[in-house]
Amino acid sequence: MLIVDDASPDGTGQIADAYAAANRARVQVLHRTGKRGLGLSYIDGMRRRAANRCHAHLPDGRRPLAQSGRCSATARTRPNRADFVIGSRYVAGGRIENWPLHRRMLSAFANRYIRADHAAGDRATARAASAAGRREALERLPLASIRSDGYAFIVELAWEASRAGLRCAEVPITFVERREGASKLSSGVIVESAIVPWRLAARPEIDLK
Amino acid sequence: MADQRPTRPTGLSMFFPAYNDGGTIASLVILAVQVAGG
Repeated sequence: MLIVDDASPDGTGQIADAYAAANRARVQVLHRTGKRGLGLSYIDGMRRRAANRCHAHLPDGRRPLAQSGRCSATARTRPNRADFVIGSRYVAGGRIENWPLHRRMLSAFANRYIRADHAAGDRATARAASAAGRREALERLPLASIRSDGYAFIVELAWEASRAGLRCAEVPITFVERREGASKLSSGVIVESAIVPWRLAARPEIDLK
Repeated sequence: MADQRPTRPTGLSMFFPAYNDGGTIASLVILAVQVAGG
């Protein structure tokens, strides 16, 4: 288990260090200098994976870990084993709890916006933040070329996974309003999320399969 | 000659990209250890 901390001013890294010290065999902490972005955090974590399956999960308390674990289970279970799995609130069985109306509307619009872009739409779900995959599959993804750094990172990762011919799947999760901490949804993140589908659509199709 | 390449252990790697998640990281790590079977 690896916690990637970007020098959080609220002491997240020190809390993680305490748990790592108590459980060195299973918990490690990667301290990065300054806030380097969500996308690079995912990439650093994926590059340091040790096992044959990899599961990423945002630790903001909004996605129940047990439900998110379905991602890993779907990447493991035969016969419908997937190479790359994301947790989504927008598939059958997925839900949102305790969100104010404006956040629901923004999220629903963002999801439809991405899916409306034909080139990206069948390959990505907006703002999914739990993902899992098999090691052999993730090694086929061009992580170094992924440029998105906010929530759009998963959109681009899913797009690359589909382009590489991986078997992709979505599993339902329940998404709840955060009880602690502040939202990381900045104007920069929103702008990036608006641009990424079109940037992906404009990329030339290269057969990576 | 036998394949001398190192092998990775089977199982599950979990990672948590964190920023200002001090209020939730502790409970998540505890739960993750439990979910992972530990």
